[in-house]
Amino acid sequence: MSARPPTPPASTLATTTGSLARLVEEARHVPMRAVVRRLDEVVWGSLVLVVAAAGCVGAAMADQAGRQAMRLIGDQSFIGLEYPVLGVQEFCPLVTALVLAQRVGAGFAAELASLVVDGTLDALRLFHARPTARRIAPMALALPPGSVVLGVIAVVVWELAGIVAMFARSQVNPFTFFHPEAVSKPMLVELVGKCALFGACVFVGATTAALRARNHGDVGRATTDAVVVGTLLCLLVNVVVDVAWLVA
Amino acid sequence: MSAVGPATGAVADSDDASFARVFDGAGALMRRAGQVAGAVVRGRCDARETLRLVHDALVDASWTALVGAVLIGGIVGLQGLGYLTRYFATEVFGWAAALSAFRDVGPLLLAFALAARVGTKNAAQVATLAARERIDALCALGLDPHAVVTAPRVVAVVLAALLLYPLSALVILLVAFVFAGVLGGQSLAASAWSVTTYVQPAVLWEGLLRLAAFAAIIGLCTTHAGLSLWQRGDASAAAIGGAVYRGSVLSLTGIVVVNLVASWFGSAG
Repeated sequence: MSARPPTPPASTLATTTGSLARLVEEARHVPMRAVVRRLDEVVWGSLVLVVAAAGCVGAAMADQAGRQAMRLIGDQSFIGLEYPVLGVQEFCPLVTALVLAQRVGAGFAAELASLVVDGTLDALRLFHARPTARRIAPMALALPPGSVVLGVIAVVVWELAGIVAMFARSQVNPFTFFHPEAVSKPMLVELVGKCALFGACVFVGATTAALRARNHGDVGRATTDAVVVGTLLCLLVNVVVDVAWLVA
Repeated sequence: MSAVGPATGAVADSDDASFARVFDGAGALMRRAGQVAGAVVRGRCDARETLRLVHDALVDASWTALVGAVLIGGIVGLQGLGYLTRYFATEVFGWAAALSAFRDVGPLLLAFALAARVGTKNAAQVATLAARERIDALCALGLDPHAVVTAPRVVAVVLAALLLYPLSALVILLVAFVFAGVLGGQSLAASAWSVTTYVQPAVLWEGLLRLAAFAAIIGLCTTHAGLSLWQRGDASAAAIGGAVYRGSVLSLTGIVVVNLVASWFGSAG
């Protein structure tokens, strides 16, 4: 396989835009089994990491919030009301997104870039095997719902981690700390919306980076770029959604 | 085993194998950490290579860290703004934002950004070196790969993170203040007063130490993942991509665990 010349950014953007347009066009040809397999890969493959990340970050946040509240006002009772809100609105979607960018984004970009440089995508296209519908679209359809499922699991783990941390540090009764009524329906809608958007961002980051690969040396770079673009896109979308939420 | 049938037994066997792999992997990572520490303590870490890698890491990561800092500042500011409007806590907003920017949220999210930029590139470079038998070539020349490849990369990521911390932390704090000022009407002077009055210098040191620890984890895990191709002899693009992926996952896990430990045993601020 001979090395192809590097692609200028404008051409890359056109390629990505073209691929995304093809993705929409070929959505009806996507095999459901492939989507389910990708969903399985996204959710089960990332579950341990999301649980570890949400649990560790949640326990650290609860512990710090409790200690600072005691130091400043000598009262921790309001932490139980604020802590699930912080998790639902901010940290659980963000932690899930960062994990997905590092794990799924990197993995998918490496896989897709390998297909590009090996010429597999071109070969499939030549034989009318619909590579976009079979290889790319299943991940596009699996990442947003997979991200939502992981985000919801992260919220549960976050709350449990907070309960354990507060009990271990300050012997706060778990039933006193647990305040599910603090989370309103609009906050849950925000959680689902953010997670779905972050899933889409991870996919866009990975696809954009992978389609730029031209030779074997580019696979590592595509993986790197996928994580960077995915991470920064998720942070940007998070700020935009937060501002919109605040203004609304 | 026979009572549950061959299929279940096979799953159980593969689970045992997975556990064994996890423990083997953890042992190999700890051995690598020991080799790096040994090379640094005995002064065998190649200084010129380290400086070159620090320069590369700074050039690569500066924009990512700066853009990341602006976005993280937005997140910190908007979070603080929520409490500001609910509790009218104008007096402590600056302190809370500084605590988040300097120690709690800033270093953690900055480490994620560094893992994304510097870590993944580090893993890809080392994996490419290993896959193309450059590490074998170094050994053939009588050079210690831990002194010229592993240790300089770990030290370089730590030094680059330490150099990026002051500016990034300041940007996070300033952006948080600007967001709170523009969207919540929080006075910039009140925020600054809150920082100078309530924030202890120890918070800055703690944040710096946390970021250094996160950077060491990033450097170690990504270099280790890249070097895993050394003995395997797999030079395919997929293997290099896989090494980058493993480095990312290892770094992320290490960062969140160390963050919890540091938070638990650290000061209340």
